[in-house]
This record gives sequence, C-alpha cells and structure tokens, in this order.
Amino acid sequence: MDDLLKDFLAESAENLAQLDHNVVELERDPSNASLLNSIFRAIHTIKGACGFLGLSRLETVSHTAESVLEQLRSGAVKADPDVISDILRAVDLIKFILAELESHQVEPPGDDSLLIALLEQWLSPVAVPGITATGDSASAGAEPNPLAASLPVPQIEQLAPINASLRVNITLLDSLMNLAGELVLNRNQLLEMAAREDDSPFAMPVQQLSRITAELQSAIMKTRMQPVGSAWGKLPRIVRDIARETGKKIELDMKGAATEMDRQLVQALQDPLTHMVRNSADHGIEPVELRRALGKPPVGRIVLNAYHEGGHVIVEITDDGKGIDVAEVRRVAIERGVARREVVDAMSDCQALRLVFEPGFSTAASVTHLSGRGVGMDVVRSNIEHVGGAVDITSVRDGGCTVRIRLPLTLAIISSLIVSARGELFAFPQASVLELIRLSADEISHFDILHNVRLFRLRNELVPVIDLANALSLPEQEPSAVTTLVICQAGAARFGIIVDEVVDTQEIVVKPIGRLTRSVRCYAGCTILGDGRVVMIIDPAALAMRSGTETSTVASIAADIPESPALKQDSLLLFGVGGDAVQAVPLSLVARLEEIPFERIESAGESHVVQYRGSLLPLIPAGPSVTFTSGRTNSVIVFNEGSSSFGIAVSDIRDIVEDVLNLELLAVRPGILGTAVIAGAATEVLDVAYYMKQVRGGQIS
Amino acid sequence: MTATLVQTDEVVTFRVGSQWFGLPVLAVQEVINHQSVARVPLARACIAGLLNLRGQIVTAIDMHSRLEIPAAASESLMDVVVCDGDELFALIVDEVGDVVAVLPHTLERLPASLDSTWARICSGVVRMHHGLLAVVDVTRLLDESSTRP
Repeated sequence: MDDLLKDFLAESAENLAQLDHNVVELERDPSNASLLNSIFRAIHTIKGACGFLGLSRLETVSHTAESVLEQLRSGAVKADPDVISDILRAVDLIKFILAELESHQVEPPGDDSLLIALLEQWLSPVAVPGITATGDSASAGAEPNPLAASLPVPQIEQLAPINASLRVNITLLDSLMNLAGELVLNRNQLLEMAAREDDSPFAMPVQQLSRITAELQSAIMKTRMQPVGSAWGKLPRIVRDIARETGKKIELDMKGAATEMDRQLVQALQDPLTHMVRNSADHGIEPVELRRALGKPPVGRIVLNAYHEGGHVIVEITDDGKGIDVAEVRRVAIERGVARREVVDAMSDCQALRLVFEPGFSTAASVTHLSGRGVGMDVVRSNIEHVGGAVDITSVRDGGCTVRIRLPLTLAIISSLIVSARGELFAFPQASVLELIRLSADEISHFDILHNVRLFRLRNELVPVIDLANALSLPEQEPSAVTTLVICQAGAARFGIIVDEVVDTQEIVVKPIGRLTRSVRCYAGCTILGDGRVVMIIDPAALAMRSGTETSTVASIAADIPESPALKQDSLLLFGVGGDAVQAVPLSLVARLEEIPFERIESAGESHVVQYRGSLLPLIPAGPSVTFTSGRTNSVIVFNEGSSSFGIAVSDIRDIVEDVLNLELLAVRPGILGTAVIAGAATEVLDVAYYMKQVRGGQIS
Repeated sequence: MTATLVQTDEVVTFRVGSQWFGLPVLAVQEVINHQSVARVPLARACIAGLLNLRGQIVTAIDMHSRLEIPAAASESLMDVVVCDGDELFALIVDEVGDVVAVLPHTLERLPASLDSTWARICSGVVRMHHGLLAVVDVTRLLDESSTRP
C-alpha cells in the first residue's frame, strides 16, 4: 500500500475512535465549543487529506459534514438529536469508506446522494420545511425525516486488521534509550571485571551479555528512526501547484526516500526542505520558452536525493534551472549590509554563494506569493545547524543549483572527540571539528595578536584562537607537554580552540544538562563515558561567541590578510571520463554545463556537432571511453573562445570543489596538462588549450 | 513534583555545618554516599557539578555554598537526591538524620530577622529537642533566580 495512504488510514483510525464519542458527547452538551471544534478538526483533517489522495467519495461526504458542523459552530443550527444523528450517519459512512480503503486500497463505489441531501438540509435550514433553525427537536424527532428513513445503512463487514504498528509515546522511547545506556555502562564494568581474571566462569556469559546489550541498544535506536521520505510527502503537490501557477513544466524526482534517520531530524528537515524545493521551482526553473531558447529540455527537473554517507545522512536538492547569479549575490550582500565590500570582493565564487545563508539576505528579485513569504535561507541554515547538521550550496550559471544538507543519523548519539584541558575531560562534537593541529611550544608562544585576539596562521587564512582552559576559567596547573589546536567551523566562522590533547574519539550519548547549568551557554549537553564519568560537551560556536570571537571579527580579520598568490584556491569542476577516471578543469574557464540528448547530436564526417543557440557547437569527447550512444544524454562542458564555443563531452559531472591547483606531474598524453592533488585525490587536469587548437584546426577526432 | 508541608507532615532531616534542616519526605528520592562530581566550569558557585546516578544526570548542589555556611574540612558528605520539576538534584550535605514527623501546628513562622538567603529558601521552623529545624522548600531552594551566579 502507498505509504501516504497508510499514514492517512492510521491517523484517521485514531481520529475516528474519538469522533463517535465526541459527537455523542456533543449531543449531551451542545454548548461545548471545544468539543465541537475538535469534531470539526477531525473531519477537516480527513477532508484535507482526501483531495491529496484523490478520494473523491470520501471528500464529498466529509466536506458536506464539515459544512454542517460549520453551521453548528456559527450557531445557525442548534446541536439537537436530529442533526447529531445525521452527523453520525456521515461518520458511519466515512468509517465504512475507510474500512474499504484499508482492505482494498480503493474507495468502494456507491451513491451517497441521499446522505448528502440529508446533510445539505442543514445548510439552509430555513428553506426546508419541517426543520427549523432554532430546532424544535421534539416535533422533528418524533417524526423521522423521510429522507433519513430511506437512507441505507452502510455495513462495515469486518474490521480489517490495522497495520501492525503502534503509536508509542516518545518519552517512553527516550526512557528505553536511557535504560539501554545504563545497561551499556553496567556491561562495561562487568567486561572490565571479567577481563581482570583469567578463566573467569563469567567470561562467556558476560560476552553474551555484551553482544545482546549492543543489539538491544541498536534496536531501540531503530524505534526512533523514520524514513526521510515522510518529510517529502507534501512536495509533489507544492511543485505541481507552483508549476501550474507559473506555467512552467517541472518534474520532481525523489530518490532514497527510504533512507532512515531519527524522527526528530526528519521533522527538523521538513520546513527547510519545503522552502528549498519551493525556491527551486519558483526561482530556479525557467519558463518553458526560455528553457527551449537555452537548448534545455522544456521540462525542468528537481531531484531530491537522500543517502547515507559516513555516519551521516545527506539530502541533496538539485535543479537544472538557471542557477544563482554570483555577481548578483555579491551585489545584494553589499547593498543589504550582509558583509563589507572588501570582504565580499576577497571571496571566491563558492564562498560568495554561501552569503545567501546569511541573515538579512534574500535574492528573490520579485517576491511572488509562492516564495519569499516563509523562511529565508538563513532560517534554513539555522534550522539545520540547530540539529547538528550543515548545509552548503553550489551553482552553475544556467546549469542549476544544488543544495546539500548533511545531518547526523540521530540527535541522541553523536561522534565526538574527547579532549583534555588541565586534567579535565571535555567532548567536542566531531561535526563542527575541521582538523586537529599539534602545536610545538615555539608556535604557542608566537601567535600573532590583533585586536587582543590571538591568531593562528592556518595555511593562507588567519584564524582566531581561544584557549579552552582560559575560556572556562579552569584552575591553574602544570602546563601540559602537548598542545593541540582544534580547528572548528561554526556557520561561516572558523576558529581554533587550544586544548592539551585529544584523548579519544567516541560515539557518545548526548544527555541534556539541568536548568541550573544551562545558563552557562557553553555546553551542548553532557555525556557519560564508559567508566561512568560525566563529561561536558562543548558547543564550539557558543564558546566562540562567549569569548568575543564572533563571525564579524573573524571575517574582517580574514579580509585584512592578503591571500598569498601561491596558495590561491580555485573552483574546480570535477567530471568523469568513463570508468573511475576523474578529470578537473578550473571552473573559471567553463562557460556552461549542458545535458545534450543523443538525438540532437549530428555527425559531420567524423566529427560531432550540435545545434546550440543558433549556431553549431562542435563536440569533442574527453576520452576514448566517452561515446555518443543512442537513447543516452551526454554531459557537455561548454567553453567559449572569443565568439565561438565548443563542447567537451564527458561521462558525468561529479562535483565542484575549492582547492589549490598545483600541478605536480606534467602531462604524458595530449589533452591533459598534468596531475594535481584535488580534494585529496590525484586528478588529471584538462588542457583546454589543446582542444581549442583542435577545434580551430578543424581536426576534431 | 513539589512537595510542601501541606501534603506531608514528615521531613527528612539533614545537617549543613551545625544547622539541621528538614526536607519534605515526598521530595526526596533517595540518599546516597557522596559521589564524585564532574565540575561544570563557569556554572554558578553553588553548583558542585554533575553526577551520574545510574545513567541519569544529576545536578549536584553544594549546600554549604547555597546556604552560605562555611564548609568544614574532611567530613564524610552525603547526597540527598531530590526531584523538582522532572529534574534530579543532589544536595551535598554533612549528615543525614532521621525522618521526623512535623505536625502542621508545630511549624512556626520564620523569625523576621532571618538572613535573607535563608528566608527565601525556608518555609518555617520547628522547635526540636536538640534545637531549631529549618524546613526547606525544594522549589525555592532550586530556583535559578535566587541562586547567586
């Protein structure tokens, strides 16, 4: 059965159980407004979902019943036994249809005109003889309404088995989770005791206990898991409505809906996701004519993709619309005072694009009623970061835009670094840690100082440094032999925190701290280590805020430092050329990215061309494994040279990364400049000039 | 859960310094030997730290500091675990005594001259044979606004 329908039935079953009771109760206590409201809401919820699921019969009945209830609410009709009976009839019919849906997945056929007519009498009470608006219930009740008498009573044959799930209070799950945590601690103690003795008779049972405990813990964790798709339910409708409203053609493709994550996170994801899909549909995807003119398929695509990656859930929203104009972003950011001009100018395109997440920023040139009324991208980011996630955006002019959200699997358990400072242990959420740097005694005494802020030169960037022991006023102690700098990222700000050493990395269970300690605002909670010790979890962003190293200071300091030219970072486009081979090209050389279906590619001799924006675009495969095959669409990187352009066909576009382009090996074959380490992997760099010469020479192979 | 003397007439007695106090018995979850606590840097002075009570995080309150009674060295401390508003707190005290019955009519109003810190925390005093017993109101004891930063 469709998940949406399943959810709807489960929810309705709950509503209905209460409904009967409430309607009868209302008869006894007609003036009870809250009772009436709750009945109204229950029917309204059912009606609301009907339109969505295409259940027209159910919709008609619940709509009419709702209208009658509206009459009761407004006081136009008094809640006397007659109207209550009719409402109960409608409830019965709703139940009957729902029961049929449960067993057959489709609405039962049937004619409800009698019941509808019966209900509709209440909508204009004065016009119908025999029923008075004020309700002379005694006389009306004595003589059964002829319409009602002729109404067949729907028979619910049997209650189909409700799906094998159960609603459980979340606090119960939380307490199970806590108990499992306690059990783990106990098990750890037992394991230690058993390990101390050789040939302990407890060794085997303790081993077994250990395994069962681990399984129990993971099973309990799973009870809190929900498929991420449950946050997507509303999106097809939203996209459809926007498409209709704006006359665009949009296709929404949802992949990986079954990817599971903690329900709290699924909820936290819902609003940001809706907002971003709405953005993509409203501002990203171009109107059909414009798309045609650009040589794009007329139907715009929005792709949602969710998957697991290294203990995180990644949710990507990709559209093939017009992308975001970075120059416009820069202009607006300066104009609205999001960042200073010098800062903005010093940013790479990738960094500038991230300005859309800053508070006070909104690119919508025209605020339509579809977008620009809900949350802004800054709220999207703060919502995501609030649950320990991160969000990033990449965009290609005319090629579309990708928003990538990274979320932890669960809120309750995070991976952490356990560090020591002056003999005390603290935990850092690993999600906010970028890297660790071991410092020598010499480096510690020679930090740069600007504005009373200590700065550390991290490659080409100066990052402010906070001493954890000082920030937390830890008691003085013998200085430690080792010092480690934990580089953290919070929002756009990057800073270092000095600790003694990293003791361990651990998956920890986050426990909330009490109300008397919450006001300190440096902690994200606390946790209990395997030996039963309680350790505070540092919230790096809050710590930085407290220490006065706020974003603005960081950004302005960073901008004061001229970038060393040797280490200038470039935006690099990574693409596949068949198999696992990946090549890179500086994004600054790329004009556009295109998807060109095979049907549009024409052969001229041995060379391939495509009609593109009113002229012919020569296509060159980036390697022997890139071929033009029927039925497939080729990814093409378009380069401009003067007034002419040419395209290099690749097997797929992989990523856009920021890295230092430093050729370490020179080319061994034509078309390749050499090899560089990009994003941690050795990658061949495309020689655009080589292809350019080929095109000019007309010797396209 | 807030327990006041309206609901019970029994109090758990404990000593801080030389003064005996009473806590409504319903507010007390258990009494344990003093456990080591994890300090919470930057927390207010009376917060001794956090302790792990069978997997639950308990905020430990240094009652000497809270009641502004100088701490005596090398005493065997006890933790009185109390529940207030779904949260657990451990009151670190010098000694825990008996549970005594307090009849409502024996509860006397606080003397007007009482130190303001104590006056905010205590709901009344009872004359016992070995001296005065100050009855503590748990919610007021743990009220954030009345604890000093």
